[in-house]
Amino acid sequence: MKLRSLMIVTLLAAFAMGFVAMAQAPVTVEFWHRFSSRHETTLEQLSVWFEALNPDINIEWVYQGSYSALQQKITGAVVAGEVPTMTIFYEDWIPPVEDALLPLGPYFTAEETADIIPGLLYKDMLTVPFNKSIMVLYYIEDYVPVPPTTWQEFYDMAVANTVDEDGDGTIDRYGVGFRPAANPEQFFCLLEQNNGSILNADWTEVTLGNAAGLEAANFYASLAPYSWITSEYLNSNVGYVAMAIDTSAGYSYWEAAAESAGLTVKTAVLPVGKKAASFIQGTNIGIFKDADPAEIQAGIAFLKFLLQPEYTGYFAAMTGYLPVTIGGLDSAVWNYVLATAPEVAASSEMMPVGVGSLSHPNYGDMRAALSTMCEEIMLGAATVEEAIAAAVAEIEALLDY
Amino acid sequence: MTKLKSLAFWKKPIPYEWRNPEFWKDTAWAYIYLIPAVVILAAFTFYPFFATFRLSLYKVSFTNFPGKYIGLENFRYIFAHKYFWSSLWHTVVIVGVSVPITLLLALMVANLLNKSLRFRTFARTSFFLSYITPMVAVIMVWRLMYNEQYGLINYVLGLFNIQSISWLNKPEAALPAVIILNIWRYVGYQAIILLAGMQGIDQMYYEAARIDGASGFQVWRKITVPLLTPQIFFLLIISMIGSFKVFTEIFVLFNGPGALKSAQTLVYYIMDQGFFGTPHYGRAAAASIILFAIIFIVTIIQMQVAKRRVHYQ
Repeated sequence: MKLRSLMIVTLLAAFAMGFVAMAQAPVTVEFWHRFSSRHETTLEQLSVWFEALNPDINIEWVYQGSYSALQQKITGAVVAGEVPTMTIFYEDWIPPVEDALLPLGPYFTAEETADIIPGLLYKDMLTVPFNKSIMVLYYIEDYVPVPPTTWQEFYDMAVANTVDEDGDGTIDRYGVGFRPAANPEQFFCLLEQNNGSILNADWTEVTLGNAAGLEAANFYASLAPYSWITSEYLNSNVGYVAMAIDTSAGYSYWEAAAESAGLTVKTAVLPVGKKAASFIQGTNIGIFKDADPAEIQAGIAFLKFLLQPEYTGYFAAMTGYLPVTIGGLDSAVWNYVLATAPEVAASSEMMPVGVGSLSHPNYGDMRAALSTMCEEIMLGAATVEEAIAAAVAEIEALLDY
Repeated sequence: MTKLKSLAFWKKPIPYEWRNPEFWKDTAWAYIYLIPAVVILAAFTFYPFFATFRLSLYKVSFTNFPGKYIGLENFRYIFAHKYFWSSLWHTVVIVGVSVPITLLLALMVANLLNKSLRFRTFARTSFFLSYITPMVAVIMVWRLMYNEQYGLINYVLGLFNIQSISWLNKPEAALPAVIILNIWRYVGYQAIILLAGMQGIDQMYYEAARIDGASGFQVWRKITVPLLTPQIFFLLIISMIGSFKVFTEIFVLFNGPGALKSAQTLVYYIMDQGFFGTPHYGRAAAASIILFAIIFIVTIIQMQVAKRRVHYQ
């Protein structure tokens, strides 16, 4: 009898300890990403700082491979109903799964929302920006001592730097490089600088073919004779082009390629059209609404942590991306970066005037139509008017969703 | 009708041996060993195959899978889409040009390798290397060779005073670039298969031909090629099916479908519909079924031709 009582008490105590342990266990936030090696170390440092401030939350980073692998896994997870707490998304990945995402607007104060760079705000705040880069002007200082500041200067320098040095009839260096199929965002920068747009504000009309759009496209086409038109990365042939509009995230590749060619590459703000503007690319973070409620709350807390000035500044400083908040651009850590790494000054200066991609559900197809338009213009396969008309027709068919 | 009746297995009597317990003692383990392979095939081949037919009838939604039933709308979209027809044409060109040229070159190479040459083993190994080297590595090297400014190919053309060709950036050069790469990659493999076939031909045919005074070309045309028809037929089917599915060469070589989609093939079109840009899984599934149907019909035609033209010893 005594032994039986002792066994019952021991079992009850064990169960009680188990419940207490479970109650005290930290909430685990599963965060899917595709950052490896150096970037992953930065993420882990951020989570260490966050967990020090929030001992009841544990951030579990789960590397999912390449961007395409991550996209497929997100798709599979949504279909299977086995979603993580949060993950990164490219903006055009979001529309097919947006019904699975938690609108974050209600969880952010007006001040917190206003601190996010306006061009990075996603529709209904389904996601918040994370790792972002912006289009800047790369120029080879050996050929272009002073970078252009206006469209006219950009055009004149492109003409002056398109040369046949040995007189054999083959151009040895082009003034500019463009990747119209792979990177129509180069054209989007010009469109935005000319106060043009692809769609109107409420997505009911395609405005690409209006006067502003035609003017931007005609300027784009005027650069074609002085441009290396290619599908390859523009830094793969440093010295073959004097200038290029390319992503700030590629600076290390440009620098390495220029160094091996014995040249000096620098960055500058994009030449200004009617206004200063550039195109921002990169991923956002979203939280799945089907995740555990405790995990959702923890995930929101982590999101707000990542958007704090010093932490978005730290992430940008360590990875080569850019702060995604106005406070981050003014943070002490980012000011230190600007003082010691002048090549990021141009991208930092343009972030407040940067715009992201449309959050339209069919943006992926629209972008494909625009890529074709850019190729047709730059390769001379169609006139500017014909190319724009074809793109407008294709995009009009995509307005409904 | 007789053939259809023979398919009605449910009307046939149970085979006698199935009623014998000894039969099951002997064969049960065989079926048990097959189960893992069948399960894997069922999960990763048969189920996706039949699921594709179903998906092709839907506007697929990930959050409300499979989505909205739209019948044949995906097929209507594809048949009206200009890029489907251009992709089909590019695929036909690749198949129509690379398959016969590869086979012809492979026959010539096999014929050479069958002779008593010095360093014959080295030559055979060298020709086969192109096939066993990882595909992506091969294509990356060819990208460098096709480089307009520094590529080896344009350098060699320059030695003959031929102007440099922008292989990777001009629409008119895209398909030739893919075809040349394809031919180079598969000549060695096909040559080895044909060489094995040549070495299996009974020498008495050649001796009889020599006695009858046949020339080398006559021997090759009347003996070697007819007796190689099983291998030729096999290679025709395999290479045609493979050429219809060209994707990796294009994706890695051009970092896209080529300038103005000049190298976009059917498989690239399927990937574009399903995975690049806004995902349209239903359309990708429908395009996959169309590709399957095309390959199926072409293979059936080949099988019918083979019945009359293939000579087995």
